[in-house]
Amino acid sequence: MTAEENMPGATLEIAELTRHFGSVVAVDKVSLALAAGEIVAILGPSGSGKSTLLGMVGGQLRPNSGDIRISGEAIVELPPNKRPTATVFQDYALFPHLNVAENIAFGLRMHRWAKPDIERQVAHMLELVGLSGYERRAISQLSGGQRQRVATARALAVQPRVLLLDEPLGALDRQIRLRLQKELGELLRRLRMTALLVTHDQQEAFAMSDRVAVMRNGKLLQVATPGELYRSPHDAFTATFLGKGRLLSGTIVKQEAGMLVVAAEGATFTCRGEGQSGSAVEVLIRPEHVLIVPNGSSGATWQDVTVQDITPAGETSDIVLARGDFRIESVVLGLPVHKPGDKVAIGLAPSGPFVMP
Amino acid sequence: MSAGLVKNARGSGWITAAALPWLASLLVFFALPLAGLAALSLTDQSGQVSLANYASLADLASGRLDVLLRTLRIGVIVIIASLCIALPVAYYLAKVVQSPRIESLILLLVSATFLAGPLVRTVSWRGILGVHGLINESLLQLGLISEPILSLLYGELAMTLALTYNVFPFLLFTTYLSMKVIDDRIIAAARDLGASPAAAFFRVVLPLAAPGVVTGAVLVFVPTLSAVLEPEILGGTSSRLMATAIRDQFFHAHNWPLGATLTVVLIVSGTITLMLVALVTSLALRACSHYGLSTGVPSHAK
Amino acid sequence: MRSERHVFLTVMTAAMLVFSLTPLVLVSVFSVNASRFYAFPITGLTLQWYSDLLSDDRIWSSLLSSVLIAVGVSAISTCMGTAFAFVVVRGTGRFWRTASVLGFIPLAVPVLVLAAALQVAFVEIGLPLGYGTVIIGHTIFATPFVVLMVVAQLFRYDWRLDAAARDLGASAVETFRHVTLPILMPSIRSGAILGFLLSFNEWAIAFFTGRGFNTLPMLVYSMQRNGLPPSVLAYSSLIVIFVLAAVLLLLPFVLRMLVRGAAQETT
Repeated sequence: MTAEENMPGATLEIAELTRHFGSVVAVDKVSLALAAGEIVAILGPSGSGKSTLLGMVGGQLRPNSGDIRISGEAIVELPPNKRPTATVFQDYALFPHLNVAENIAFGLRMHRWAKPDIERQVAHMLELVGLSGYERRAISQLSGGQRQRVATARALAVQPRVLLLDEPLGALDRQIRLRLQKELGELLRRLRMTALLVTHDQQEAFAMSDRVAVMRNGKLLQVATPGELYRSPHDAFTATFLGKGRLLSGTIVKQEAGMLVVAAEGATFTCRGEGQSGSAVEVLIRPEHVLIVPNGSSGATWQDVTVQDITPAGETSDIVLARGDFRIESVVLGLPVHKPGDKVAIGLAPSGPFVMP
Repeated sequence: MSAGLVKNARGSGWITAAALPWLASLLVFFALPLAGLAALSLTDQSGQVSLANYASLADLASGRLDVLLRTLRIGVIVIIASLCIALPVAYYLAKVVQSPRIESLILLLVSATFLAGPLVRTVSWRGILGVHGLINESLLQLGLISEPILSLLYGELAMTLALTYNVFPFLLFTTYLSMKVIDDRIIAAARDLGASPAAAFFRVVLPLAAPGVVTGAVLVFVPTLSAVLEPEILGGTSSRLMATAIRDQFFHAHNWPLGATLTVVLIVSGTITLMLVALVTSLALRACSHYGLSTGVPSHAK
Repeated sequence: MRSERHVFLTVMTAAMLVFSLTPLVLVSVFSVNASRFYAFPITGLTLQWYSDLLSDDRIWSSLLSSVLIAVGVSAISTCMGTAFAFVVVRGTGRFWRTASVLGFIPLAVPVLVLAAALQVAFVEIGLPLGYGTVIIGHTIFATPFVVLMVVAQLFRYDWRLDAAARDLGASAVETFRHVTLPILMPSIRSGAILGFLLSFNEWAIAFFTGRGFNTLPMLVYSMQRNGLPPSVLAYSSLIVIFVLAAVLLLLPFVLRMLVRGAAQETT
């Protein structure tokens, strides 16, 4: 009986969950449902309440109101040791007085597993995270990435129905983080584990999860797949937190073939989205949708634009374009052919701009 | 944050249970006995309420006032002497020495000598200060003196030396601890902004370490108030301190009310002395800054 | 940046070491000197004073008294002090903050005052002076130091380890037993050794509140009043060796904690 064979994840439902700290509302009526085996990332800046939300599911914190159900059973009244959840803590919280195997066995001992079962499960977990042979190592002898794997193994060992991960890769170097993102995501999918992941790193959220929940000031703003969230954010915060982009104020001129025609900054162009003709709207234009074309090109949205500034950023370059007071950013692969001061025109990628609801 | 909430969730029942044994012991075996002592000081030997004990202090012929003032004076001298040792050494150990091994070794040696206890520590000084002690023998060998100096042992000097020896580690430890937690980059920033090593120490390190220094100063002052061994073993007859007088009232004169009075006076005057030291120190510091006297010299001024 | 000032600091530190070590080294040297007096010249090597000391029956009965008392003090003050350390570190609110400070108040009162007050109180309530009264007095004296020892580590304790243990299915009691206590054990052990040493070498409280026996410091105190017999030097030397051994037992941990700071803990 191992986690892989017998214990796929369960459903998790969070309903109207609220938590105050004094007069501060850290989590404000948050509702969120995870299907069995689904991985959802809660993405938000520090102070958004995402760790508080996770702590209430894990039982380290008590909500002021609201309900949490796993497989339909309410768990709010249960202490953390009675909950079918397990947490991978920020900075791992590995027990410094225990070695790798003892850390992983800790939860099993607490759950009164028989000794041979514990040994088998510990060996299995170490194999899962690729640390076989490290049983007797002290925690202080492990690298950051290895500690992360031990923390994951320790949490998975107790066969939780829902796995909670609090900034699981936050303490790691970029290289290791990128590799572990992939490994950890694949492992959770293979186990069909339901997982709620808290992170401030957009890339981590997008790489590991099925859906992403954007959180700010204690409220859930939008829950959607990574692609949907990036292409069609519902508000200015989500739009800019998830990537670069320019928000323009404009007016819907007409609807045309399922698209909208919007007038903004002295030009009209087509956008995705919904809205009534004549209403004032905010349009999101991401840099990759801003195409630099020769000045005078027919079909360009804005003519007589000046290349103001070029910032190489590795495989891409960021370019700031200006037309009077109007500034907009573009991005190109590699180094641009233009140089600051060049006169160019801007075309917009079809179905790039998005009218936010 | 999460830990804080676990605590709240569990309520404060455990905290009462954890605090109760020690706080109750303090009440029964510390607060009440001290209160009893204070009450006893207000009686005479037949048990009648009386202020005679306090009045007797004013009797100059008894010499008790001299003893009290000597005790307080030596307490202040011990603070100053301990500061002279502890401040540079604590700074050296906490921030200057590069090798953790040397740092540990020195702390280990100081702790080991400290924990040998006041009796052994005090007795051991007799072989240094005696007529044929280490100092006299060395000076004679070097030809610096032709006769041994007799006044080294049995006097205020010997007593003060031993007292300082017995208590300065308190100040060293508290100062070391409070300097240890100062971020190295803060000192580096001060130096980077033009502070000399001395200015960095006096303007940055010392103010940040002040709580530890003050705690240590109290911890070295308090034991000098209760010093019996040092005056008796090294002080000779002319250097009695209050603690000896108290001991004598309890064990030789068997005048407990008077002994109680002396302890009350000792505590009260000791507290006042500490307050005065604090006041004078802060006034002196304020005066220095008022007249633009810097406690450290900026490096480019040299 | 590192030059002239550090010469001064280095010299001061070296001087402090000489100051600290010379008296105790000297007493140990003279404890094997053939001359009866704690004074130059050094006339020869002898272990006579040690055999004098160890053949003195009073020494052995005093040793027994001292050990009995110190063990009792160490046990009681370690339990109370460890418990109270949690109050100091985790107590919130004005009440517990005040209580935490009050817990350290014996440090601010001269030991002799405490000794006198306890003697008066014990006599007044009719508690016979003996081992029990000395243990009580020493416990009041030693416990604040034990608290400080444990608090030093507890302040750096990562409370998320408790949260992690609870998350993995440990009850509150199991968490304390299997996580908190084992991690704190080094500082608790240090506190116990410190409590033992403080009691073992304490003179004033034992002198005031003990009757019917002599602790070692009480005995040696009375011995040295009669012209400092050389066996007192032998005693001093043995104490120095004993304390050095105890400190070596206690210090590797404390020093690691002090010198390296929080770096080695948890992550």
